[in-house]
Parts: sequence; structure tokens; C-alpha cells
Amino acid sequence: MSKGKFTRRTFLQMTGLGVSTGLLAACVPVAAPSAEEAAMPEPVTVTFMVPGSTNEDADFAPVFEEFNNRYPEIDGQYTPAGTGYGQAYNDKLLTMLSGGTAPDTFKTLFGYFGSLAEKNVYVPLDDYAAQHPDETVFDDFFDAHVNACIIKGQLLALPNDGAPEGIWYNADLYDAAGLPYPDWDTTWSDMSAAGTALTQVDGSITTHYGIGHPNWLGTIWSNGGEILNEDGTQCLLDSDEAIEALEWMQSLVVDDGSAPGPEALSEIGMFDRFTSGTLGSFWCVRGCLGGLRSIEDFQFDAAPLPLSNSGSRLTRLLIGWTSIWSGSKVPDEAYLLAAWICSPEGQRLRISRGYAHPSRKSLVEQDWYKNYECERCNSHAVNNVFPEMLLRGEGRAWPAHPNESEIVQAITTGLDSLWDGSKPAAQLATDLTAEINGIIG
Amino acid sequence: MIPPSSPMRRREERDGWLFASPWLLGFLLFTVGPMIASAFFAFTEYDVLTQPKWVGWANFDKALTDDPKVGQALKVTSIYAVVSVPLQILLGLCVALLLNTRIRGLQFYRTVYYLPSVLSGVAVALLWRWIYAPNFGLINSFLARFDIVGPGWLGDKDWALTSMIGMSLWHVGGGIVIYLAGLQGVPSELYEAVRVDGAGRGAAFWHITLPMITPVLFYNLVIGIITALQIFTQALIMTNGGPHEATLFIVLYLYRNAFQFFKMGYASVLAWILFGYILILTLLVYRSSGFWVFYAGELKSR
Repeated sequence: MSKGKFTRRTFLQMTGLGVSTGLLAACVPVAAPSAEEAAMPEPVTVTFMVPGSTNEDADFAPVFEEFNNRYPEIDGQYTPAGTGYGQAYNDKLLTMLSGGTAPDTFKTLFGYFGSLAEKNVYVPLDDYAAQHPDETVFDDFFDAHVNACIIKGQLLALPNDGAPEGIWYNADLYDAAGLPYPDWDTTWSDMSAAGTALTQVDGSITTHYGIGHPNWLGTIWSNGGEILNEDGTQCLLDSDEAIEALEWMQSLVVDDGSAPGPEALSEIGMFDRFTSGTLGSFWCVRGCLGGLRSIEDFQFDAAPLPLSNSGSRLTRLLIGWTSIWSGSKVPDEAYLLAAWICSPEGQRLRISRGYAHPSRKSLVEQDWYKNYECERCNSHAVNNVFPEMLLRGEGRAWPAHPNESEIVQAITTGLDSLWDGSKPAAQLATDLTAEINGIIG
Repeated sequence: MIPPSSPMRRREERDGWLFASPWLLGFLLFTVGPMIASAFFAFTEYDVLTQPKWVGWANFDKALTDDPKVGQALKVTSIYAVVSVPLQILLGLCVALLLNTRIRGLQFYRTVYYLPSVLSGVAVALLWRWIYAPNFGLINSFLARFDIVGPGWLGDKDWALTSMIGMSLWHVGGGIVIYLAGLQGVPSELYEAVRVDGAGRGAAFWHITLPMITPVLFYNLVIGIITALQIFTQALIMTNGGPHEATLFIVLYLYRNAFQFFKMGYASVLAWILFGYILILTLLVYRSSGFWVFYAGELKSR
């Protein structure tokens, strides 16, 4: 063997030496802490998780900056799931909960609050709210929001936000058709007529649909129907009121052809149809304004849900349930973070950018909310329609139920038959009632 | 010859285990471990967040006798597999035969056909949603040139599964590479022999090519069946099982039970039903292979 040859042994020796040096270097402290620094306790880290999106991340940044200024002893960390608002967020949350690595505070999405509550995932917050009245400002929440956070008499979340659903309409299309804009007196019949008038067909292709799919929950509620009885032990979808609501929904697609059917929706969804200017109106929460602000080609506006045949309306609320994980090692600090995020000031910092809907009565009275400037909006309705429905008591969240995700899945699957007309509404209601009663068991 | 008990043989054996250990550890921890856990959970009511509760055979009983969605999911999955796998084999073989010639730019064509196989499932699903769009999609726009009104594809319950099957052909590239390897392994003297005997191209294909690549066909058939029965991503993204559960594949239903409905025990049963189904089909194909798969150098008396 020649002396200068680079052998395997030499390679291993040199690699070992390099790795050892690196490890030793990593162990050396950068500098010894001063006595003052050593005396300061390390801030307690509290994590908060939301589905997360580019918009959401930017909205929460000032909220956490201000929290960490106000509470230097706590290090509030915003940890977006990066999943978007869908099943992927639930998958991630469930995996973290089962793995014991869930964040201290987190948001729960529609369809899961009751299921997770049943599994004791949440810390009851009643005592915390009582201990921190100034941070909680409990009476300032809309009643509908608070009610949605209480299960079996226990407060299991604070509402970070909560969007009621309204109608968004293309004002240019309404103007072109000479139709009055929807308002507080608009009825289902008015919406049907407008939908038909706004629908444009070119040969075999419907280029413009007049109306989107009404949300099933709000529509059934508006007409006095219910999905479940009060204690959640029986499905009530086969009531006359619920069937009438389903019939109206079906008529828009099947009889009038003014709302897109399943085939058209497989091509382009409701939101994209509206932003492309080919949909007269659609049901969406106030938070949709975030996406609608990118519209440049036409004027749009918001309106309350139409009055049902029974003359009433009840909008569905999508609550931002903000809870503390029962496995959190720092529930006290986590509560302070949750309370701050849901506080009037915390919400203002986030929502003043134009997204979401506050869960605070005081916020909708403030100038920044009332006078929010929406460039392509036809009026200031986007700033008063949604809170007005809440103040009138016309908003409600889905009642928490241990099987809610399965019930919602059954209904959304069943609605396929409604939209393509393969089942009459009454038959669908009967079938769904039987299926849901089977789920509830 | 090195004696079995020599130090060198022992060191080689140790090294062998050492090199294989990453895979072995992964297999034990991430495949065998979860399978054992799943076998246990199948007999429990388990929501992932609270302790599992022993329920005996109740989950199996429900899945096999009391849940019509299991039957629907198995039916949909089976139709998909039965139609898509032969189509994939047929198309893959045809393209491989075309590519197994001396033409200019052959490498380019091979790359083009293989490329779809390396694209992410989500991206492909979104692409196909556009291809299948009823009014503005690629297929219906093409049909419209001939005054044909195309169906709603993914939004039509009668066409949704067909659309999924059509989309599965996007992935034939992986099979093509294997067919090509098989085709190039056929000894050229066999072709020379049949040519001397006066056989044409068709006879050469039927009597030489096809028998010689049956091991490759067999491999692609088994892998194709296993892959087809596990279809999930496309259904989740493109149709979410709809419309009317026309694309409710068994893995999608399993996923819903596990992560949407918090029924991990029941989902485990569905996983074992799928495992059993795949096992039975694979064994049947293995059994049948004695009748149609020919291994060069193997002498069999029939």
C-alpha cells in the first residue's frame, strides 16, 4: 500500500473527526447569560392553530405581535396548519390530538365541535371566563355565538368570529335585467323570479345562472323546519316545513334551470362562477368579501337571506370555535391567548383587514367596521346586513351533536338526488330521516 | 468455496442484515405494526381520542350484513378494477409494441409516455377535472365540433365512474417501461426461427412475443389489481364519492369512517375486508398463472 493513498480508513477517520468537531462546537454556548438575563424567567410558550392561508396568516400577525407585547411572560405562537378550510385540517388536528401533540389552543371547523366535545378534547372555560372577566368581556358576544359554544351547560370555546350567511349579488346583472336588488323584504318567490330572469342560455349551454344553491341548513330553518329535535335524538327532516324548503331548493335547479345542476358545478363552483360574473347571486358568509374584493369587472353587494314561505329567515352561522386542548400543559396561559384572540381588540386587529365577521356586538358599531370601504361594492350593505341579521336574532349555529360530521355527510350526499331531480323532495326527506335516525342510533 | 461457519461468511451475513435493516425496521414499524394494531382495533369501538372498547365481531357483522354503503363501495371499486386493469394492460402493451421499434426520437417518445406516471396525483386530478368539464372541457369541446353534446362526465352519475376509468389510462406509462424491458428480453433468434418457418408478424407476436412476455403481463396484472382496488386520491379530489355515491370507492369510505366519523375500529374492519379481497384476487391470479404464464427455461408438463 502506498503511503499517500486515500484509503477507506482515512476517509472514516476524517469524517469522524469532522462530525466530532461539529458536535462539540454546537455544544459551546454562544455567550454566558448576564445576571439580569439569567434572573428573567423564560416566557411560557402557548401555541394556537388555525387552518391557515396566506390571507389568514397576514391577518393574525398583528394579533400575535400585540399579544406578545401585552404579555411578555407568554410567548404566543401562531402555528397555521397550512391545510385550508377543509377536511385536511380536521385530519391534521385529529392526528395531533391522538398523538398528544395538539396545540394549546386551536380552532374547530363546522361539523366537528360536537364530535370532539364528546371525546373530552376541550377544557371547560366557565371558570376561566369568571376569573378573567376583563379579558373575556363575555356580555359583548352575540348571543348566537355564545350559544354555539355551550354544550351540555359547559362553555367549551370562545367564538373568535362567526359569519352569518347572506346573499351576494351581481348588481350589474340585476341592473341590466331591470330587477330590484334583493333587500329585507325579498322572498323566496322574488329570488326564484330574479333567478329565472337573470339566467342566460346560448344553445345548449347556460352561460349565466341567475341564482346559486341556497344553503340547505339556513333554508330549512328559515321555513321553520329542523334537522334534529332539541336533544338530538331524532331527525325531523320529514316535517312539512323542511320538505317545503327542500322543494323550493329543488325547483331552482330542476324546474327553473336558474341554478346550476351537479354537472355544471363539477365544472366550476359557485364562488368562481360569481367572481367570473356568470352568476346572479349566491349564498355566502361575510368572510367571502376577502375573495370577492378581487372582482374588478362589475359591481356587487350583499343582502339578507330571503324570507321563506313562512315569512321568516334564519341564517346559518359558521362559528370560529376557539378552544383549549384538554392535554395542554399551560391552560391558564392558553386561556389568556384564546381570550385575547377573541377579544374586541384582538378581533379588530384581524378583521379590520376585511375578512371574517366579528363575534362582538361592540365591533359592528365601530367606525372601521361600519364604514369599511369596499371598492366594487354597490353600497355599505356589506357592513350592516350581516350584523343586522344577528341583532334581529336571525342567526344560529348548527347544534353540536356527537355524530354531526356523519349527519352532515349523509345530507350532502343525499342532496345529489335533490339537485338532479332524481328524487322528489318529500321522498328524499323521508329517506334521509331514516338514514340519520340510523346514524343517531 | 467458503465454509458456512467461517468468519468471512458470518461477517457477510451480518453485513447483509445490517444493510437490509433500514427496510426491515421500516417494514416492521410502519407496516407490520399498524397491521397488528388494526387487527386489534377491528374488534373495538375506537375513536382515536379515547380508549378502545372491545365489541367483538360487531364491526364485522355491521360491515358484512348491515351497511349498504360497504356493498356499494365494493361494487364501485370492483367495476373500476375489472375494467381499468385490462384496459391499462392492453393500452400499455400496444404503446410498448409501438415504442419497441427503431424509430427516430424513440427516447423522447418513451419519456413523453412515462412522464404522466411521475406527476403528483393531486395535480393530475385537477387537470382531469378540466378535461372533463361539461361546457368548457377538452373532451366536450372536441365533441362539440361534430355537434355532439358530451355528457356531464364527473357530475353525471351514469358517467362518473367511466370518467375515472378513462383517467386511469393516464398512468399506463409505468407499465410501458416494464413491457419494453420484457419485449427487449425476447431472444431475437426466436423471431429468426419463425421467420424461417414462414410466419408473419401476427403469428410471431402471437406465438413468440406474447408467451415470452407473460411473466411481465402477470406482474402488471397483479400490481394493477392491487393499485386499482386502492384508488383514493382521484375520488377524494374530483368527486368526493359522488354523485349519488357513483364513485364511492372502498378506501374513500374507509377514510371517511376513520377521519370524518371517528370510527377507527370500523375503518379497520373495512381495511381488513379490502385486504382479504385483494389477497383472494391475487391468489386467484397466481393460481391461474400456471395456465398462461410461461417462464423461459422452465419445462412444464401440462
